[in-house]
Amino acid sequence: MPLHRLCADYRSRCACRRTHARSQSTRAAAMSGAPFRFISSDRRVREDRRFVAGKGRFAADVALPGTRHVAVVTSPYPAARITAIHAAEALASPGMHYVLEGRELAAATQPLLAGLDTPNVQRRPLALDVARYAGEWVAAVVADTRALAEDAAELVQVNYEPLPFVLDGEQAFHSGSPAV
Amino acid sequence: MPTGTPRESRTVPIELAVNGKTHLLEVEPRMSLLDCLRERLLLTGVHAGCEHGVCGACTVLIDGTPIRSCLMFAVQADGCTITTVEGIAPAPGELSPVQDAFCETHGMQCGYCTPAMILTAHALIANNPAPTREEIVEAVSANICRCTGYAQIIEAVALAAERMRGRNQPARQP
Repeated sequence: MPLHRLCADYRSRCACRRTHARSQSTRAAAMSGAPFRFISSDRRVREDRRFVAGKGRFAADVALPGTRHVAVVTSPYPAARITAIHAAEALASPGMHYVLEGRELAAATQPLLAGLDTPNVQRRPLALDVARYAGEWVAAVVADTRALAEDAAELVQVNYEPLPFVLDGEQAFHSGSPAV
Repeated sequence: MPTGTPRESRTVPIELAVNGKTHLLEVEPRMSLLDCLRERLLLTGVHAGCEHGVCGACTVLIDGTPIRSCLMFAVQADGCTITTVEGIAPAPGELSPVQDAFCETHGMQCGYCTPAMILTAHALIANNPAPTREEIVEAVSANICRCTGYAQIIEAVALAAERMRGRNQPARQP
């Protein structure tokens, strides 16, 4: 199997100089008039070392003091009116700090930018009064750790009034199918 | 358990041998090995990708065999010998041949799948010092990479295997 097939390309960043030293020096001589320092040069990337050592600082690896964790409460219904959210029991559980509901968030924020010219279709991170798909976020709970947040999210009780729903795009065109 | 009942949080003492060091820990039975390694032992090289056993980013070696740490409870690993990517370097400041090969062939872009790929490659080469391309593809097929298209990853494993065959050293530690 051909290893380092990239070596065939003189623009390759392969650094196996031992094996290809002779051919590279020939190429280098041919390219001695090249005006660029980085373009078409044999450079190594810089970030590989920390990734292969497991030292990449991804978002979840950053642990700042005072960080809180959020878990979300989701709608089990494809369409439902949210009539009440009871958070008292969740708030009483250990490590809990806050339960954010759709109304409070909507009062403080603009709708999400949809990228389509549909001003009547508003998208929000937390459902506002109506859940419009199964799995839509209804409330966010804030706790000291992820596990405590997920525990508390299970204790939030939401009252739903299930509404008629449509799942098929073509069926949604028919008159009489429920509007989302 | 009915909703509304407070969860009891009893802990279980376990002993984990990770990268040559033994750790005595008290963990809840429901804590996954992934969370235990990342949060309790601060070994953040192991990554949470899908957390349901599909992507392979959580791969660690238990007794030399790659396993899904997201599908295992920490209490199940009691008494096991665990190797993470932090323990794969032969000495501080050095890189193993597999790690070096990944750098040389640029077998990564974002680097998220890389620790798992490296551990899987180590396990493959320890069991099979001269893997064919098909065998390498089969071995890393359990690890998903969204960035590279896998070509340089396969090259890295093949290059590492070639170099390790040329060393005067067994691939698998006794």
